Amino acid sequence: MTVTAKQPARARQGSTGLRQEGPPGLGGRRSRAFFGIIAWIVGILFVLPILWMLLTSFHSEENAATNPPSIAAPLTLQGYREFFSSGPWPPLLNSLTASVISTIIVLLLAFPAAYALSIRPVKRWSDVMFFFLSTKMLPMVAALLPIYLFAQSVSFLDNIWLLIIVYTTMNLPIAVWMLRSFLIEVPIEMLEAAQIDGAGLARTLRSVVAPVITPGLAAAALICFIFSWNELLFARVLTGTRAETAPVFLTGFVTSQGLFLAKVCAASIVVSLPVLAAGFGAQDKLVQGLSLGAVK
Amino acid sequence: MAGTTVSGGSRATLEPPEPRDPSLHSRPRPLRVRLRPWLLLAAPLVVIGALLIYPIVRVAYLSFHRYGLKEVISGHPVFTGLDNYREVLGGSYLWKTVLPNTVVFAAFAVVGTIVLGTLVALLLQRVGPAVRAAIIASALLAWALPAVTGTYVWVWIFDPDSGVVRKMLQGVGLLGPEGFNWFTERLSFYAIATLNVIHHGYPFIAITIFAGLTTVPAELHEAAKIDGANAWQRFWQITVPMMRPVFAVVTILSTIWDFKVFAQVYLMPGGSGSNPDVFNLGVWSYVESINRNQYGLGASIAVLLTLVLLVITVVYLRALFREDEIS
Repeated sequence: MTVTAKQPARARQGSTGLRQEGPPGLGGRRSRAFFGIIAWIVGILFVLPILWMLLTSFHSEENAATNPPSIAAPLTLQGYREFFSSGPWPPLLNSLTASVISTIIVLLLAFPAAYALSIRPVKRWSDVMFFFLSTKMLPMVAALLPIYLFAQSVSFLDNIWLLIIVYTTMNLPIAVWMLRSFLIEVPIEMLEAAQIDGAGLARTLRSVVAPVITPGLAAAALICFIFSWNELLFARVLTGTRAETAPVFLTGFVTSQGLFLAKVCAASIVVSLPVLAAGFGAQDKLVQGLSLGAVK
Repeated sequence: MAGTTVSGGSRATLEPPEPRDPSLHSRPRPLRVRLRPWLLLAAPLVVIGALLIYPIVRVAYLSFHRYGLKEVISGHPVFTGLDNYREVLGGSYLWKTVLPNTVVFAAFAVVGTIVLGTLVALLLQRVGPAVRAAIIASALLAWALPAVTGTYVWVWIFDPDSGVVRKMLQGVGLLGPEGFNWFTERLSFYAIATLNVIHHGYPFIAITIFAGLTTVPAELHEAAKIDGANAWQRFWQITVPMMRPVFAVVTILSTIWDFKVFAQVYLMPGGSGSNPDVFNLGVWSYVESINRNQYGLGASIAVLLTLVLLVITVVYLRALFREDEIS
């Protein structure tokens, strides 16, 4: 287990290093053909649908009706224009508000907590970690009902702050787990030096620890952002017209405009764009965060 | 355990003024210092406790009551004992439809996700940096794509009238001109849902397993190869045993996720209420409570789902973490 925990940090540093670490000389013809086939299946099954959606979103409605979309059809922004004229800005802004604010709160709470679980751990740190993990076993549907009824009784429904609180709770355990796995890699000498210089805890966290684990903070932030942005169940039940988020708006849009494929594809692309951009722009950080979070 | 070693060491070494003196542990530290970590933990524990413990208690309470529109208005749930549970457990609907929909689907989705994730991870290990970056990018695209959007793409692909699958099958003569509605049949409905969930879930698994694979020493493979083991044997006799903790973690996480699947079923045609044949536990609870305002009944279904998950997780943890392997 020690090996499992320590290695990825080193292995990540160079992609050439990874190649050597893989089982060498597995280039048997059969195994190469096997993995070639897998590569194609993965490609066709998992990339093509997204590309089709993208292509269709740029077609006129008549051309979009052909399935699979024709590559030769002329491209147009018609679908996007019609989508944006249907009032998607409030829900998009709501999603942005809920995702960004909850992510910031999560990081502010999770960072000190992860510190208390790793660098100077409380005695029962493993129990605390297990408590955090166990919260993931509660089905969201079970939590939804009491929260809904409670919010209803205090007239807190359709309020973006309710979603912010829910998303903060939902993402806090993951963030603590991830940040902890980054924090236990921080060299102790660094903290000792800060202490000798007389830095208090807040200052140590801010100016010594935070810069070192920036990749971890970024990865945790990205994952929290993506989870909040994509959340549907709570958003659908807890919001109405005012606090509606983008996925809820999208489901409504698809229900009412489902026959207009180009428009629907354009809507799906727009709603997915922020997370796709976030995921694509920071893939190495995401890979690091995802793998560290679970491998340890 | 890596965590224990590192953290244990850090506590000892961080004690001023004689950081490396182990006897420091026996000297009681000032209360303020000992409490400080708990203060740091307090906010998350309180937030999570309030928003998760309260619902658990409340949902369990409601599951023993009748709580419909009338009771919501009056504000007083009517205690009905085990009536809700009798209704849920009594009929054949739970046993013949909902439970199989939940359990069999989750089993296929978990196995599918892990097999595909492992294959992609092995593939990642074999390709050059450029191809690897491309595969990871496309995998992350599938992962970050909102479940809502992803589900619509799959519904669109299997559209009974104009879906590309219908056209392809008709093109090769496997499907008659009358077509087939994939969404009304339970089996084909869940086949599509499984595809969708695997599509959404495999990137995380693949990346995690890939990270784990890099920790298997190449010398082991070399040695086994000299002994004449082929790739298949080496995978089962070296990679799998070395990676057991990683596989354990991804299996547990996928199981928890796939039992709780909601959006992917709810958003498919019929999944939001019109076709009770395709409900799973989560959707059933949602439909009973939110669509039909039978909060007590919905609560008892939610309790049931929680219990099923709890049992499975405990069995898993027992089987997979035989020696205290989680760190």
